[in-house]
Amino acid sequence: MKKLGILLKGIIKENPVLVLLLGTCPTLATTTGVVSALAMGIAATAVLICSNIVISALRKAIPDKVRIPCYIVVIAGFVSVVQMLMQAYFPDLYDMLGVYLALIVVNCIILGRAEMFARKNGIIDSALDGIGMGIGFTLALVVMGSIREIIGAGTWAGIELTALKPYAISIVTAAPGGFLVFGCLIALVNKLFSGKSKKTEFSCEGCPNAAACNKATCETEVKEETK
Amino acid sequence: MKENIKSVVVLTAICLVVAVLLAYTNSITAPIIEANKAAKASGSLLEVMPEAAGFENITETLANLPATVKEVHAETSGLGHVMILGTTTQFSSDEMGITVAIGADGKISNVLLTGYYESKDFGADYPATYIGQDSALGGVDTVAGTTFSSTAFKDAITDAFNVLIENNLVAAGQKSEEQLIAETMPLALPGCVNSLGNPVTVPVEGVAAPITQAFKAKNNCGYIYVVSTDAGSVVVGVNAFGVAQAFDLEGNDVTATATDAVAAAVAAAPAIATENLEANLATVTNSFPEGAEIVAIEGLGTFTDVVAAFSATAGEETQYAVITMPLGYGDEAMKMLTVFNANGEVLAYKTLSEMIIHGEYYADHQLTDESAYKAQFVGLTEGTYSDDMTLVAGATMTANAVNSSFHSAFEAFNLIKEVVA
Repeated sequence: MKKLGILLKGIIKENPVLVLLLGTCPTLATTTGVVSALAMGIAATAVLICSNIVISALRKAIPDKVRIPCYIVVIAGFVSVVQMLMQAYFPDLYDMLGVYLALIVVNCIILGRAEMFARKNGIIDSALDGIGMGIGFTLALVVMGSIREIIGAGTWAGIELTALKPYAISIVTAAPGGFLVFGCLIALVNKLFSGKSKKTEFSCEGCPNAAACNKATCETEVKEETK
Repeated sequence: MKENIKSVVVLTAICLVVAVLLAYTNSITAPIIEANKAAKASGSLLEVMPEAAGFENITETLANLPATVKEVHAETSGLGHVMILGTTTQFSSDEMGITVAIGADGKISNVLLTGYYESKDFGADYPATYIGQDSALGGVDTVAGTTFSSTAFKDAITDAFNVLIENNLVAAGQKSEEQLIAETMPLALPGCVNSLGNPVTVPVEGVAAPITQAFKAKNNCGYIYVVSTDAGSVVVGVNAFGVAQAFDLEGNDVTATATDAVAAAVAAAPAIATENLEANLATVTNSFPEGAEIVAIEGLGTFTDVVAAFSATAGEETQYAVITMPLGYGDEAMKMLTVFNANGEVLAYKTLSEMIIHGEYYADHQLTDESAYKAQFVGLTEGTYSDDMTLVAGATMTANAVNSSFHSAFEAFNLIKEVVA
C-alpha cells in the first residue's frame, strides 16, 4: 500500500509541475503541441527512473561532499543515452525537441527527486517514485500541450479539428499563452486538491542552504504543518 | 584525507562507468544516426529520382563547377545524376533553388523548383517543359513577362548539363540549326544583346538567296544575316557603318574565308549611319564648338551599340562624338552621346532619350539630379572610368545601359584614333 502511495503521489498530490513547480522551463517550451509534450515527458521519465535507481543503489557509496557532481554525471549520462537513442530511432522527435532534450540534464525534477527521495530510499521505492513523478510530469505536459494546441492551433497531435480551426487563438501556442495556461492549471489543481497537496519532503536534511541557515526549524515544514 | 580520496575515487569511478555506457550506446546508435542523416540528405534527391537505389555525392570530384551548381549526386546503380542548383541571376537577388535529375541517357528525367521568391510566377508548368530534354534544350524557351527568371532557370539547367558533359558523365545533345543560329547571333552583333545575353532584334521580311534569314537590331546598331554557303549556314553581323563580321555555327570567326556571305550581307544591309546622318548631325552639332568642321566617320569596325560617330575640327582642336544606343529597361533602346577631346577625355555626356531613373535614385546615389549624375563623367578617360560610377540603386537596367554606352564609346574612340593615325 505504501508503495502504491509512492507511485501515485507524483501524479496529482505532489505533481512535479503543477504542485512542486519544478521543471517549468521545459514545460513551457515543449507544450506548444501534444506530440512534443509527450516526447519530452517520456524522455524525462526514462531519465528520472534510471537516475533514481542508480542514485538509490549508490547512495551509501557516494560521499556526501561529492553527491551533487555524482548525481549530475549520472543524470547527464542517462540524458546522453536517451538523446542518442532518440536521434537514432526517433529522429523527427529528436529534431522537434531540439535543445530541450539535452537540457533534461538540468531539469529540477530529476535532480530534485535524486536529492529529496532517491538518496534516502531503497531502489524499488526510488524506481516507483521515478515512475510516479515521470507519469505526473508527462500528464501535466500532455494536458497543457493539448490545451495550448487545441486553443492555439485548432489541432490535436497534428490532427486538424475542423470546427475549432477558424477560432484558433495563436497567442496560446506562443510564450505568453504558455504562462497563461500554466497559471490556470496550477490554480485549478490547487482548487481541486486544496489542503491535500503536501510538500512534506522539503526539510533541512538535504537542503543545500542548511549549513548557512541559522533558523531552528524549517519554515517550509512549519507552513505545511500549520495548513 | 581518507574521505577526500574516497570522494575522488567514487566520482572517477562513476565517470568511467558512465563513459563506458555512453561509448557502448554510441557504438550502437552512431551508424543508425549516420544512415538517418544520409537518408534525410537524399530525401530531396529521391523526390526527383524516386527509383534511385542510393546516391553518392561527387561534387568534390568534379572540375569546372560554376557557381550555380551546388551539389552533384551520382545514383549508385547508374540511373543518372541529381544536381542541386541555385541561381541569383534572376530579377531579385534571392536565390532560386532547382533540383534536377538527369538520366544516364543525358535527358532530364525530372526537375523541381525548390526556391522561388519572385513576385511574378513563371508558371508551375514551366519547369515541367524541361523534362525529356537533352543538353540542347531544343524544346524550351524563356517565358514572356518573366524573362529574367525563366532565363536564369534555363541558364542554371544549361550549367548543370555543361558540368556533366565536361566531366564526361553524359553525352552532349544535338542542337538544331535554329538553336545554333540563335547562339551565334550574339557573336555576330554583340551590340544588340541585352543584359541577359539575348539578341533583341526584329525579323526582316523578303530576303533573297543566299540570305535565308535577316534581323534588324532593335537598337539600330546593325543587321544580322543568316547566309547559306557550301560549308553550311554562316551568321553575318553588319554594323551601323556597313562593316561585317561572320561566324560559322560552331562560333568560329569566318570573316576572312566566307567572303561571299559577307559580301551578300553587306550588300543587303541598309547603311544605318548614312540613313540617319541628318538627324545625328543635328544632334551633335550643338555639342561641338561653334563653326567646327564636322565630319561623319565611316567604316568604323565596332560591333557594339555605336550607331554613329563624328569628328569636329576647329582650328588646332579636334573633338570626337560617339552616339550609342544601349538597351535599357524593358529592352528599350536609349540614345546617348559622348564627346571626347583628342586625348580621350570625356568633354560631355548627354542622353538623347529619356533616362528611366526617378529623382529618388539620384538621392540614393548622393547626387542631386540627373545633370549631376551625368556631370560626374566629364573629364574621365578610359583609364579613370569605373563601372561603379554608373551604378544607381533601383535602376540597374538603366545604369547597365549607361555603363555599356561608355564601354562602347571608349572602344569606338580608340578605333577612330587608329583610323586617324
